[in-house]
Amino acid sequence: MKEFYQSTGYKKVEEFFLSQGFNPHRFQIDCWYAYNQGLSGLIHTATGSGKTYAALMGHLIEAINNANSNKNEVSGLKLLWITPLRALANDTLKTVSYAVSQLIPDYNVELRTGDTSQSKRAKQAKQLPEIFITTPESLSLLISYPNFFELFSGIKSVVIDEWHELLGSKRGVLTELGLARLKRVNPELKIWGISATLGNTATAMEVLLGNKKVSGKLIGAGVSKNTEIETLIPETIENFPWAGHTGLKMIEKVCELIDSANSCLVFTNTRSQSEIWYQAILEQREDFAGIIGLHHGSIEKKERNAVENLLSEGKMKCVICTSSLDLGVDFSPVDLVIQIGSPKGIARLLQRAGRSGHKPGGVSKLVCVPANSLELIEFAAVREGIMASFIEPREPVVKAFDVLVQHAVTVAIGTGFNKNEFFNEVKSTHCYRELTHDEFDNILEFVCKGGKSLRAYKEFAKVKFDENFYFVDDKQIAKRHRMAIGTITSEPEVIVKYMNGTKLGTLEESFAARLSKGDNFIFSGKSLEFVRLRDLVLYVKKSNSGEGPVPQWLGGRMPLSTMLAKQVRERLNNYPSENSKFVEITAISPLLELQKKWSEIPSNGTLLVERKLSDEGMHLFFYPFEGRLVHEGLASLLAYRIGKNIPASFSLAYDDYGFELLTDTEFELAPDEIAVLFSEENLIDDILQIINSSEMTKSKFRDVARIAGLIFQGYPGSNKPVKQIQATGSLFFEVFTKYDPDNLLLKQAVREVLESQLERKRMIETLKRICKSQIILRETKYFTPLSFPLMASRIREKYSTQKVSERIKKMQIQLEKAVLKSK
Amino acid sequence: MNEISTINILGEEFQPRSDKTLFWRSENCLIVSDIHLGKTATFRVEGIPVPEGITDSDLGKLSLALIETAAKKLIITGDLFHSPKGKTTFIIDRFKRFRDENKDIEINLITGNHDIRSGSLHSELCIAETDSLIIREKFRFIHENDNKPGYYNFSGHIHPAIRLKGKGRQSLRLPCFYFAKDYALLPAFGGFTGTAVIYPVNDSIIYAIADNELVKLTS
Repeated sequence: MKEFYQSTGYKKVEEFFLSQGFNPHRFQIDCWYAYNQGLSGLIHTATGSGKTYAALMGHLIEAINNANSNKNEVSGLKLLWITPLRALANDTLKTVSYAVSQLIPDYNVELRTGDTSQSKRAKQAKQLPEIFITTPESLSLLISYPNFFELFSGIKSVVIDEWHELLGSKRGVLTELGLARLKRVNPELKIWGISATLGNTATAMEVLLGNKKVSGKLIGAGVSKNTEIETLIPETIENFPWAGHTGLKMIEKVCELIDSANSCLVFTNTRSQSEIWYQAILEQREDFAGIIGLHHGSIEKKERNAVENLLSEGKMKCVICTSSLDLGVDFSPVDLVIQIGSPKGIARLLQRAGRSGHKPGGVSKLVCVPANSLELIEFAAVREGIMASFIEPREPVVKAFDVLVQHAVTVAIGTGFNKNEFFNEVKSTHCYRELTHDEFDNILEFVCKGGKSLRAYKEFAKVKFDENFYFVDDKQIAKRHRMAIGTITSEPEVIVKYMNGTKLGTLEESFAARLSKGDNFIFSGKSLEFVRLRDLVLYVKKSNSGEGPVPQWLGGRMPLSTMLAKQVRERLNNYPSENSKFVEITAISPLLELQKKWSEIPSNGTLLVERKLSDEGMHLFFYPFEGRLVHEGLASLLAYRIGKNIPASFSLAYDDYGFELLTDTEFELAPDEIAVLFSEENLIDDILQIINSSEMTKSKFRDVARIAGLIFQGYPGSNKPVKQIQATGSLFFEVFTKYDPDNLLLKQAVREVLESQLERKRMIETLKRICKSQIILRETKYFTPLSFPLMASRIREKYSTQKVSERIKKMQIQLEKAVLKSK
Repeated sequence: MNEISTINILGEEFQPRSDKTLFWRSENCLIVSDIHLGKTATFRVEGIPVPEGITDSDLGKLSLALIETAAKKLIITGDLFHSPKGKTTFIIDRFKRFRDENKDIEINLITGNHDIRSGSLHSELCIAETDSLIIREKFRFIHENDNKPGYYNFSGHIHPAIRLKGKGRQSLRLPCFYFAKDYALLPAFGGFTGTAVIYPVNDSIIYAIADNELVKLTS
């Protein structure tokens, strides 16, 4: 028998590579070998290093080799390619189609996303092409077709692109369930994931492959990409940093950097910031008009595509963007990335750095621009983290009942299911491997009867059953469910349009509601004037004022990652011994010296607490350095626990470094009393108390309800009267809380608040760490450099933005004076 | 109980109540809007699981309001029932029971957009139904406000709510009664109904309903 490398397929692929002018990489060959042995696996590597061909060619080699022996094989789907982003799907289509046209001209390669035309979809619903590129949601949609088994009967392998992006989200869960279903069609199915490097690649593969019956191979690409990271050091260091700063003071230097590059990407952390920076750069450099672009998730897709195309054609000097450009598409001309503000995670910065020098062997160049002086420490920390190869893990989602509810209905609409077979299928996924029969029965009860108590859900019928077979026979229900498939949830949004109907993008309703006729605002890089708001459409016309507020979008702000937080603590602990190692630390020394003089620099093994009396009352500042979410939880926990003994009301503020409790009641608190407040005892009970009295569960419930199909957003482009069955998340929440408090979805909302909103695990770890630490309590005469941003953020929540910035400016002046005096 | 609030409209005293009903003392008449009976049932029939419980709660509240005010007459300014699919035997039974318990009450239903779709059962239930109702020549009751001149128009339909802003970026959305110079908007009575935020014009009086209490606001 011929060796694998001597096979026709292998030789053809090798020739294809040579004709393109390069040799296959070692890791690519490893993949093809593993594939040839029938293995599944995960390829993890930096971007731009040939992953697509690593994952694709195994299948093509096999197909070419089998072409002679299997003349009668049916046409139709052989390889399914799942990608998290539509934008990426187009790019993949190009790359894959090209290789396939050279190697197996008979093969059809097509894609299907939310944008695919109706007629094409109808054709695809009858027969799929040999290679089919799609998103997890579109796969779910195909599962809802009664001919699902026929459509996929010829499937040999699946590729999941950018798996790290799906892992850790409910879209990942949807993918896991889809794969389990595909394995029912072909138990020999080969599953290959492609992922950026994660702190937990082994787990990432385990989740992808599901039950242990499939053996997997982890393949790391040996091509290490060079990453150069620098920090732009501000000329003056503010001793009182304010988190609201945008970093615009550095604009001249940033423009110089843009000038020096061939093409560059400027990443900001929020959409508002990207709008602000875009305006500022244009003001600074009029000659950039027309060659710089703006790209974020709320800008109309056409506009974004245009920017992306210009970028890859090398016609863009610079694009200001958000995480919207974190992923995927090759922008080969880009040779510089600028990060404005802390990336809050090591992996994220690496990913963004990888957007430049996007060719095999290329060098990634990234310049960090601090938005406030404290971020210098974060940049030093992130550089050290990268040098030490610390990369954050992504934790997979476990037992998401809402996704299972959706999937069960999807399958019931499609082929229907047998109870026991479906249980085993679901249980074979990582997400539901601990699913109990009881829980599964609850899910079925929910989709068949609405919930546990029979009386409460009369007349309800969605999924029907005949002994152990579950199905849906109501066409309306099926239609509505298909419309709602997917797990991405979004806030109610307002579409922004010119009077002639041209779409510009979307805004949050709350921002639009504050505007009135004639108001100017900045959006999509344009100065616009409000004309009218009707039925969630905001009509605007161009304005020449160039002024006005920039919209704020909620969400998307990530807390400092656990790993980066640890690095930040290390940098502070080691101060001042690392001054020679990090320019950032040298630069920020004056601020740290002041912190030391007025209070203390936090160090390992201690928890710094500052107490300060002011006209407003008593301020208590705590600095665990564990990220905003944990601090939010801890702040509520402490306020609750103190409040049990001392009648006082608090105002809370939190950032990535610590939190503040402010109260008008003055009381003494000894270090050992503080230590008790951080005890793990009764933790869960106390947290549940906090959750119940807050809005957190309610807002989480909206997402859960939407995924589980309670909130129906209507048929796109149709004005059918669906209003009769529309209600808001909070309305559902109230009804469930009152009349079915044991409801499955309510419980899940609470669990999600615990796990993802409050980061329960991380909070417990933090409490453990603090319990072992020595509490250092400092009475401070002034607000310290660390406490100032916390105090400032609390004020920001009290007043409207403009007045606030003025007031804060005033306070900064006062404080700077205090420094001079104490000198 | 909180203090009784009254508002004078064209010489008549009206009493907005924290249970979202409006009482007109000199006519002995209770006015209520947008009950949307059978809304949760509609959801269930359409395959969206919402528990039952609202029907009993809403009808109970309404009975209580009739007892407390000793009203002899009930005006419903539209949308008694939510939809034809929601008019299940269960819902109809419950409403019949309510009618029996309040036999002596004269009920006037102003036809609402939902009532048109839901079809009529009203003669059987001893309910008089009209598109609008005029009492004492100047007070007019209609489902959807049309600002008909020459009258003070009471209407429902939009489920009015008011947004209040407070310290710490807090924002509260509360259902409300809205009294303008020549018209009034009534809050939706039903427990499973949403609200729409309205933006008050000058010289109007608003009663927001916050946790069973009325809060009077002037614009």
